[in-house]
Amino acid sequence: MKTRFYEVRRFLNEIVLGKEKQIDLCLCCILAKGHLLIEDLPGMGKTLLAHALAKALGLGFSRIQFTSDLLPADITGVSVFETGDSSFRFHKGPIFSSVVLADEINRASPKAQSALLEAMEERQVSIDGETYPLPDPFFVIATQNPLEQTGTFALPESQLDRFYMRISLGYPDRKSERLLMEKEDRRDYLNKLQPIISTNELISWQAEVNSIKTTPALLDYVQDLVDQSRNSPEFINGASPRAALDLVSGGRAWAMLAGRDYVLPEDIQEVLPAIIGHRLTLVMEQEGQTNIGINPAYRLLELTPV
Amino acid sequence: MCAFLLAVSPHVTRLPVWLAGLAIIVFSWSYKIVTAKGRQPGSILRIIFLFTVIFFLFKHYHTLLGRDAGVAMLIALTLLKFFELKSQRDFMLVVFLCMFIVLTSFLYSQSIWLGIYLLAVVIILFAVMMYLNHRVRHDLLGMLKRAASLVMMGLPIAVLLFVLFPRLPGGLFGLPGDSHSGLTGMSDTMKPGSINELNMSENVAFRVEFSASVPAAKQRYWRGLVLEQYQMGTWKEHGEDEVIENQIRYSPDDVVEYSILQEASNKKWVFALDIPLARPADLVWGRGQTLRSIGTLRERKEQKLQSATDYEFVGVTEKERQRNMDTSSVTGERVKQLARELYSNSSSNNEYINSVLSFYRNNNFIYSLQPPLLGEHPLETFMLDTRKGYCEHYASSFTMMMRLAGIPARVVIGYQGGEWNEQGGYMIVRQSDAHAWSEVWNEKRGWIRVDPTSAVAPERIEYGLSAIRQLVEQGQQLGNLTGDQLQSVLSGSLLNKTIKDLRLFWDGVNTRWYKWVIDYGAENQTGLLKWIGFAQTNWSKLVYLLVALVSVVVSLQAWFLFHRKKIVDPTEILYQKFCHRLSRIGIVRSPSEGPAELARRVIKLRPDLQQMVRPVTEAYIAIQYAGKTGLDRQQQLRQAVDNFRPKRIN
Repeated sequence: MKTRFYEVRRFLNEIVLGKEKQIDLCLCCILAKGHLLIEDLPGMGKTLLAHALAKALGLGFSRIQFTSDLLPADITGVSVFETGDSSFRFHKGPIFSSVVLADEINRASPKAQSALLEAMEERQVSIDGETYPLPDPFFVIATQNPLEQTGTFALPESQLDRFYMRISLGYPDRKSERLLMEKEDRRDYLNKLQPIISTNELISWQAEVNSIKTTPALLDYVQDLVDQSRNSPEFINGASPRAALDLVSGGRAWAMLAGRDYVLPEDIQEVLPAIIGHRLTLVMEQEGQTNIGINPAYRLLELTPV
Repeated sequence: MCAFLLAVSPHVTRLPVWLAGLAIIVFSWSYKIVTAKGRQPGSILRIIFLFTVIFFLFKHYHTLLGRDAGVAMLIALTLLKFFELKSQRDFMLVVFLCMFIVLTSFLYSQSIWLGIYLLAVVIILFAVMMYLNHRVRHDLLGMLKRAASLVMMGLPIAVLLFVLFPRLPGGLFGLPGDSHSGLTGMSDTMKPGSINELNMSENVAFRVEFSASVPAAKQRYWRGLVLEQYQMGTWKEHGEDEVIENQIRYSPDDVVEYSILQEASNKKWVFALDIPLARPADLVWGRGQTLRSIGTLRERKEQKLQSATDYEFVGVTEKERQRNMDTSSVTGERVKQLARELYSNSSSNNEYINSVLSFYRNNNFIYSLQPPLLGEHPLETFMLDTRKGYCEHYASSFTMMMRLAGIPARVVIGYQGGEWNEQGGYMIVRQSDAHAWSEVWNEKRGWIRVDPTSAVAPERIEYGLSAIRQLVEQGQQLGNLTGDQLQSVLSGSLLNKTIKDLRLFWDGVNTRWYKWVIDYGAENQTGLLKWIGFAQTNWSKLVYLLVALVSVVVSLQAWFLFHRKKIVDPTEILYQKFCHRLSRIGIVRSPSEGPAELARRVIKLRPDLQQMVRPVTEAYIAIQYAGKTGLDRQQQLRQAVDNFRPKRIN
């Protein structure tokens, strides 16, 4: 299993160059059955990463481009009257796919956003009294532009909390960028490749995550972290119990990626910024002075002794 | 704002009413600012407010100095401060001003309840301060809890400082009260009606602790003033010539030692058990073997005194004798006739005394708290017509009857009786125990105490005035009851008894509070230190002791705070040892660093240590995070840590 995993990792790293950490977090997110939010400027390879993931894991892929006039039905699908048998038939929307890329999610109206987020949470879609289950595994990669850009609707905290992780890709380093220019177009290259693992294999891996050991000492540390976020005057809101659960499962997935069957505090520390970063807000120290740019999660790590 | 109101509330009854109006204006204005984004008043308006307030304060108190005016001014100006709450600093200032207002409450009263209440207010103020500094969580309850825990942590230090801080002699809040604030107490003249007013009051006059046995009720006459002059129906103290030292004959076996804790009275009289012997340094002798304090008693004061209950009070000057035979203002021929008759029928002075007392007993004299008015010839009207009165009437008439027969006599006023507090082990004497009696001159035995009231209403002497009132309420005829009947009537219902016991218990608590907290001064301090074992103390020793104890307390508290999560896990202890050894070679583990991370860093910094660091880290991780248990693992870790002896390299 370990070797198969490394193959997936190598595969992804060949497509998206110089982003090892982000790719690992991505895999970790899939293993823990979470959804991913990528926050970055356009043209950084977000779509490519999503594509590559779907391909490597042999999953169906669809993409929804969020725009300001996107309707919920454009995501979930719509019932259409069929003249042939004189009845309504449900036409599944793009959400019925194992890997869904929700591109520029913050461009759409809150109504459309919430349609997606509901589907993410429930893993099913209800239309006209009928419930349609979404495929398993189901993995949403949403991308969003940094909020300063015009024409965006920021996701409220309650909806951010539904994303398991938030990462950002960032610019590639000089060496990777040179490779990018020299090599064949990544997208063409991707199309030539074959999936590495099967869907069933992924599902069994996801099940295996839960068997990774967490000792009382480790859970103490996670609780310390959560308590610190709730009690320290530096944060506006404390981490939710869901965040605590996600931390544990994230640590497990990370340990599994590292080939261990137990979780170390370091595993938690590695995944914590991605898992907690979008759910915490630092208090502005003084009026007028902002802390934008400091990930509150790093502050939390600093504050909490292991 | 709320905290401000809480801090001010003890003062409310003492403040001028218009300040409430000011408060309403200020608070409604600031409510407008908060809710509707109204503007704060401009500087000109604020100055107008300021001067108006000062003007009114001056008009009310005729001064801006002193306790009452000062406190009112402080509160008024704090109110005005609400007009200019802009920055953090302003809010903090208001909080500090509230703290100061809290303190000023103690200038008026120092009771336990006020202390507890103000402690709560201080906790709330602390919570407000915390809120001001955080400004995030609106978790008021949590904030209050933290504030309370802070105060509790400060408490031991405060107690230490209180007990050990070097003191000047004097009370805790030794501020003189404003001279015109009235207090109830005994007056220095006696006119039928004046003690009656006092009788109604249940206020405590003083409390007494006896060092040995307690004298019987019949002997508990607390001597206050000796009145010798009778003019126009009023008894007065003789104010002219010098006070002479008297001669008292007594047997040393009869000396009672006690300490008396007298409430503030704004008078100079000190009430000693009949008859005081020695004079403490800060008291002087008054007329007729009474005690006076040098200054007026503006605060509660404790005196240690000695008295003899069985004594002979001899020695009288000619002037004194003449003075006490003066009958010049007695009017009414009938009463003079009565005195002559009774005197001529008796063979000796003693017999005359007895016949006057039986005259009271046999002629339907009634002890009453609501006697009729006496009119133009008070003595005659009382003796022959109304025959209703209380101790004053009897003392006064008896004394005059003696004088009419040419026997020197005078009136003594003070208190009689007292209520024994079982729990506290002391006696309470209330204003309602005020009493008047007579002293008659006997050539052989000197001044003899005669209490004519006891002839009419012995219950008064035996059971106190409250018993009398109770009997009157139940429609009983005074003087007609046997002892047993009296007891059954007086003991009353169980509920009454419980209430009485509770009252006595509470009085005991309060007295201890005053004795040990409010009046804790230099004297108590040395006493306490002596008891602990520091016989001779001076300031510098005290300061050393204080500093030492305070630092012990602080370090104990710090130790508890930092070791709340005390490490008991042996694995953790071993790993701490490893980290300690690492720190000796300059690699300090940051608290947020995990074990694997640390090992990586160490190996990067000191590749030579790899062989030693690895086993420690692996064993530690295996136990702590991989969930491997067993003694051999523990042993492995111990071994690894013991082997870890890194050397510093330069």
